[in-house]
Amino acid sequence: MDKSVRISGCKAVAEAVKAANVDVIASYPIRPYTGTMVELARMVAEGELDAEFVYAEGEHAQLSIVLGASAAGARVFTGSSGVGVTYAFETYSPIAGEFHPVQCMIGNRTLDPPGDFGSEHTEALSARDQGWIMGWAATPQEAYDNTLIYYRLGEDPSIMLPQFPCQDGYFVTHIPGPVVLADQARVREFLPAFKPARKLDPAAPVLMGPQCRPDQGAAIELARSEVMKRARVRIPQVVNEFNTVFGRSYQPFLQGYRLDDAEMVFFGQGAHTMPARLAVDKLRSQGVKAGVVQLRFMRPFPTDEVTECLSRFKVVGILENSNSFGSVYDAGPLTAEVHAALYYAEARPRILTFLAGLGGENIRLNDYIEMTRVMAEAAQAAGLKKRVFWVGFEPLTIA
Amino acid sequence: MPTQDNLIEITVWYRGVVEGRLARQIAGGLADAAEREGKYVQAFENYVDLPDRVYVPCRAYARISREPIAEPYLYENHNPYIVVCTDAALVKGCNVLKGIEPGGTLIVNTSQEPETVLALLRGLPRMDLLSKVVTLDAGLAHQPYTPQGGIEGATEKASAMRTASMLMGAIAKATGVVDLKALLSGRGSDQAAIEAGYHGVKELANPEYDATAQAEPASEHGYRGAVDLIIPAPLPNTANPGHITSNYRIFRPVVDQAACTACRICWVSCPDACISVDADKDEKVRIELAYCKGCGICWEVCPRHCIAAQDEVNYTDGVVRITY
Repeated sequence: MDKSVRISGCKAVAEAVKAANVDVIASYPIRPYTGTMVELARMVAEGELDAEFVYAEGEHAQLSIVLGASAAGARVFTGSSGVGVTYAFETYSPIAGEFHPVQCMIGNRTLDPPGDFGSEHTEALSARDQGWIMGWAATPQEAYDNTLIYYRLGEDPSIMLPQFPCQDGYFVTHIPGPVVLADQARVREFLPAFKPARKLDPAAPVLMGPQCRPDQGAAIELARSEVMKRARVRIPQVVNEFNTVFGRSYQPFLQGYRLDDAEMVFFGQGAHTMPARLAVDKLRSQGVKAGVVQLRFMRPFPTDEVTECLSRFKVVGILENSNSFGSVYDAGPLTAEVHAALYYAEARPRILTFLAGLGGENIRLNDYIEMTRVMAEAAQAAGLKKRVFWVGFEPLTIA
Repeated sequence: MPTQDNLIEITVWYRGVVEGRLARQIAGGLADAAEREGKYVQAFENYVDLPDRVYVPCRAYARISREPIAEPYLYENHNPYIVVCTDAALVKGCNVLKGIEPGGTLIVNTSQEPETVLALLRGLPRMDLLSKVVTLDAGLAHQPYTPQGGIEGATEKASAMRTASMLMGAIAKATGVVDLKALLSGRGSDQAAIEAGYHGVKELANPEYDATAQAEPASEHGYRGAVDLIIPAPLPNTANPGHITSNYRIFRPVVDQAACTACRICWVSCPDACISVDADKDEKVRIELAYCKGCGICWEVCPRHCIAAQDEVNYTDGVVRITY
């Protein structure tokens, strides 16, 4: 039987990990993801979940532990936030490069400074080039669902990649929302037991991650690139299957909201796309043709889908929740990727970037309405003198 | 009732670690009851407070609305209509009326009279917005602290259901934010405690209340100036006026100086180094009350039992109202 509850994103992930019948969990506390581990520790202690629960001495150890356990054939779970994510950085490429389908949730938190617990996507996006599947949930329900989708995708024999399912700290990790916990039989149907073709086994020893010769390097990199491309092809199949089994209606890559006749859209990922939807509802009642496009996977980046979807609109306003200091247009990774994806589009929208919610700051309803106003201005203007805005710090006008 | 989008914000001030469950039960219980009445609800905890520090003042929130909640991802209840304090000393330590809606209600769990609470509030800005003070003796919800794990998860075992239920009953009676029937119909609800709270409230109208007074709009954004990350700090072995912690205190240690032998056991045991001892003075043991958190270690370790725990509310000094 499915069960409806009101729980936080942290607890939702713990419920999904339990439903996935994970074998090994490695924990180390850091806000805001800690609630997931506290809940999992309780489940293991009270016999609800039969898993090995390891208290690691830090994030580097957490990731190393699950690397080994995954290599031995276990379904594994770990997670972190903020500086914990960056402390473990060294382990990310080996885990992906040796094809261990580890799942590491990220409850986003700013790096230091400000380190103020607030959500910002910078720490996760700094790991975007390490070969992991990565994307954001906007609600506790999506966080629950993504945990299952990511395991299924990562453990696909043709993929075998680790995954970073991300959720915004506080907004998703801490604010309870409605979640339907799936019936266990359905979870088993969608996510069969993890049985890797090759694993560490004393009876049939293998060496994983041997020292490579310099002339082998390019071939290894090419193979990693090809696997990520296969994941991009596999995602729509897996998400559609998830929708069928669990009765959901996710778009694989781009979740659209009120796009039919939209002239301008917000483009973003994670929590901030939810208040953006509410702002769009309000604007629609005033006759403003606005919509929201929520990016569900950052890696692999859905290039064709983004090109096709965004080229339909007059103006795209990127909700940029990460800073990449000194990068193209002095914004963040999302800005760079969206511009690149649209360069070869037949019709290109005008693109504005809104640096908003940095340091975990609230983006208020009025902010979204102001952003829409400048997007409307951009639709009419002859040219754009200004395209990147720090919301709340400077006047929102392109003149 | 508040006019903004029909949204009613309820803020529950509580003590870190020891009352986390209590606060969640109050906020969640009210939200659940309102949901049964067909309202839109949220219940969540403040994210900036430090809820894993024992006795630190923290906040849990509920939001109840007739319409879909327009801004569901805010950190705080900026304009609470109902403020609940799980003990009366919170009123001395924090500006619990910050942002209160015009006509708002303060509900305090205390054995003291509402007049005593009102006296503690005196001098707070915007007293003109508070319509009444309500008290209820629902008992202190926590035992002296024993480590059980962090507040952010689910490991706290001690149930505060009776105190929570009594306070929910009191809130329903004093504000009508939820109907008594809706509270009583909750699965597994402690109906006797809800009824006891409902019928046990003491109300006092605030004489400073001005029904025509307007609330100040909450600021939309955070700080907008430059932030220097290298700031002055106090010298070693000196007090830090930037980190006053007296608002952690529910009970104040009071020393019987005549019985004290200046053995220094309290001095060596105080985790915050706020005790000084001088055997040659009349006041042999001096406790720096700006930093004393009322942790209770000194009165537990004193071999002559000459440190007593007194209700902080009985003292008019030590009002700090640390801003959050």
